Amino acid sequence: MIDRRVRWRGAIAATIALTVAGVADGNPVLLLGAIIPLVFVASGSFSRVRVPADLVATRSVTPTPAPPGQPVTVTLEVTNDSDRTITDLRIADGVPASIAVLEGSPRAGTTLEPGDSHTVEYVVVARHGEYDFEPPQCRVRGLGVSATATTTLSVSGDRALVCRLAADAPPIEEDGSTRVGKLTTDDPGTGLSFHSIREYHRDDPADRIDWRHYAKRGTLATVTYDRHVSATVVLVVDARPANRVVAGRGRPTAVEYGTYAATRALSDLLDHGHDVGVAVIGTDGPGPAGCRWLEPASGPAQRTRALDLLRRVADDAAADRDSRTPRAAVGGRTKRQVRKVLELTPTTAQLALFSPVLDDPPVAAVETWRGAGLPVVLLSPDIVPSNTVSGQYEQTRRRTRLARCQATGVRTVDWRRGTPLPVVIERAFAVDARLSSRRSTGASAGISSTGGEGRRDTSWNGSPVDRAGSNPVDGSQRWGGGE
Amino acid sequence: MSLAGPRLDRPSAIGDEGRARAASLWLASLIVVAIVGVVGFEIGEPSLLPTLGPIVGLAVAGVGLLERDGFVSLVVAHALLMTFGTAFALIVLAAPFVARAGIAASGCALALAGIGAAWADIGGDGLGTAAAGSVISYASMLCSLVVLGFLTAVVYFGWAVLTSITGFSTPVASVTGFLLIVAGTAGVVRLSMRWLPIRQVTPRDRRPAIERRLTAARRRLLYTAVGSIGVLIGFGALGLAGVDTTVTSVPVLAWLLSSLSSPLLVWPLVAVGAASLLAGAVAVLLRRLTRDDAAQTTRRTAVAVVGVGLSLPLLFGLALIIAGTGVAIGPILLGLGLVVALGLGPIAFLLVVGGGAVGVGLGLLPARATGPAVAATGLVVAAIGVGRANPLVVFACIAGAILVWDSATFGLGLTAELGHLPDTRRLELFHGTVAVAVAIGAVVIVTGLEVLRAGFFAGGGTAGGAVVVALGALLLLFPVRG
Repeated sequence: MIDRRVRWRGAIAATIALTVAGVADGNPVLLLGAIIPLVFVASGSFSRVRVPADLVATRSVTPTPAPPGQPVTVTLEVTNDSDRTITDLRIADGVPASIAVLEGSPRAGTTLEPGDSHTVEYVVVARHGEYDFEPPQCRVRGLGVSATATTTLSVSGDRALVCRLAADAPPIEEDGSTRVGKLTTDDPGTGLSFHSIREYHRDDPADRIDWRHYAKRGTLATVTYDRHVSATVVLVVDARPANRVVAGRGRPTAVEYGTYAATRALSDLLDHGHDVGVAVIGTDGPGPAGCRWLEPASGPAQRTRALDLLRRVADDAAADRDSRTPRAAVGGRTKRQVRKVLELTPTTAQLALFSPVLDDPPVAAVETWRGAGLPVVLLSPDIVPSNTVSGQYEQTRRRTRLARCQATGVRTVDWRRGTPLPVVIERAFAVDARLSSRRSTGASAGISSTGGEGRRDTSWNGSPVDRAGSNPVDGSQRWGGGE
Repeated sequence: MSLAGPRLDRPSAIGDEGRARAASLWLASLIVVAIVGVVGFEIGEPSLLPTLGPIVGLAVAGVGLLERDGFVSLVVAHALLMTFGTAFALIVLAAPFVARAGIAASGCALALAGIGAAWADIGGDGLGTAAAGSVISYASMLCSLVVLGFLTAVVYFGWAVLTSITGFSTPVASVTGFLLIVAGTAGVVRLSMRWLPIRQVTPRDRRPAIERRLTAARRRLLYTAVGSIGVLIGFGALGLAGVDTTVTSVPVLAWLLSSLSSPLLVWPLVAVGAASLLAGAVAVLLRRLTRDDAAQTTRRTAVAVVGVGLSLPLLFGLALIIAGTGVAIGPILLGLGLVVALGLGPIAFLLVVGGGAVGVGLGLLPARATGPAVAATGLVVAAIGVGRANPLVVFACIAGAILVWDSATFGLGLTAELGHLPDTRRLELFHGTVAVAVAIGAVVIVTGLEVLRAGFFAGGGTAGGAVVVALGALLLLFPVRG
């Protein structure tokens, strides 16, 4: 599309003013000077422009697919393949409306000689889903600037930004261990790493007798090794409508961050041979009490089921950001679901809650779970901007809630923006899995003796309150450290 | 904040959102500065640029700072407007009436102000705010002048009364003056006790005791004031009855009563009253100023501070005129200068800035490109001002005006289309080179025509020039039409 813009009204006004002044003053120099603005007007009128036909554009999006919240670099290279210099070229890449540009600009202005290229590079924030780029807009001006030609460029290379929850999670089939339980416990048993030497028991296998000890002391002793066991972890995603908020325009919601962290934790835990289950609170699902629930299990099939569930949660959160569910109804549903998660979770399991903790229900949830004696990890993505007074106020309230959670014996991990998620996951589960394995070891006797399946109601001899009292010091010392 | 005042290199002072790209603005600025320098030499004022530069720059900084919400920034803004802004306005409005070269100076001031406004991203809204701010500052200054004058009169009257009291020699007059001072001091101290935050600054555990003491003190002060007035009335009644002569006939009693108007007794009492009044007034003022920190309150307070501050030199100027009348011409001239600058300058500033705002409102000046338009207008005015001088300077002024407009609006268009982040310097410099080439070509053409006119059409005078211009214009308009 070719257009001509009016730029020289001021020049015409100057010509008229100088002419009037020259005539009034009887000054021929001013009259002659009145010609100068007209020269500019004439040069603008002589200016011609045509739609560039030989501009080639190539776009690359790196990395794609990307996990939510990850910066993605978009590079658009425009090359002038014609034999004429383009004196005024302006480009604007078609960034999807739902995506925010984090750094740089998707626009550029330059001159391009024949064969020259210009690269536009900018960074966007990935959000869950797939977003198509529109073709870049291109505007060319002639020497006089008045005439413009606008067109869209066809682009080769990447045309979309793909964001997946499991984008950077390694596939379990490739890297996972086939051995159940890679977790090292404090308890002695069979394994590879030396743990201790104890007195020989009659039923100890002969290959674990310490013959060197027998040679020195004349008594039999048995070598024990670090025992490897598996843990059971239930990942709980707080997907309530209150968490469908963003830190800025085009950023992922807190639910997307939470599901991404849960996805990464799921992959890591399954990769290490643990049993992992998934629960989603705050949405209406097909499970008990409207809670989306996936029984703890291990293996690739469990991973596929869990990933599918988490992806649906993220999709729902992205599609239903403006939900207007009544607050009272949401609060009642959340309480029911929290209690239901408590009922469904095996007694030997630990809970990992992924919540931004923007209000009090997550605090009440962890208090409920801790009251029942379950180990709880709280991983909280920080989406509250601190560059405003109200943001700082909300941030203070959020950290107060985190401190309240920590005071109940929950290991809280504040996932600040910019901190790599693998580091956060590693810190969140390093200590907790060890403790869970100890619980698992200690609880196995109870399970075997009653013949139950690990449910709270059948596996323990005492009440949940009794169990909470049986291990309070251990829990608070090991779990209450926070970051 | 920097040590010397608010920083100017922040987006709110040197506007960034709608400002033209930097390379284009630099080109326009260099053109304006070069032309103003040349014009200064041409009109015989080589110091024109270094004189106008700081005045105009600080005036523009004042307008730019008005966008801020901070108290210090607003005080500095209004102070700059009422000083350098008024000086700039007086140069623009008054200089053309002094000499023809004044038109050039006025145009140069406008050009510098325009380019400064382009850097500071001052548009129609900014001009309107500045006009309103100058009105408020001016009104505040006049109100402060009235209040200060009234306070000066009160102090003068009080001083006269006190000195007359201390000069009394008769016992009756001494007693009367003393009782008046006691009653006044007691009343003032009681009033200031109400104003001072004595209870608030007392530790919480001692507040009941302090409140009891304050109540007792207030009661005693009330009794003292009422008692003094009562005694005064009683003394007057005795005087009417002729009893006072009996009392004063006793030498010791007469001496005692006369000594009540002694400076040793009067001045400490007056000092206590004055200190109490001052402390109470300061407390009330601080309380009112800090009652709420809304933006509007901050803005109003800043204006009031500047108005009070500037009313002092205005009062001083008036005092010089009054005191110097019939004595010496020097103080009168100084006083006149102060009164004219502070009394008429804000009005001139209001005319200039308000005229710009009205121009924007009427569509005569583009709202987004107000600065470049003012700069170009200023250079055209400067060209008219130096119209009788070297033709090359006139042509340079006109070409510079068009270049400034072209370059600045090109930069504005870039900002509008691409924003501030992309690097467009190469594009801007290319366009600037082309525009300068066109300007040089235009100047060469009209210089050639001027040589032609001065040579072949010299006898034709203005008519010959008009013929040449008409020919040139037709020549140029021919392609424009197509």
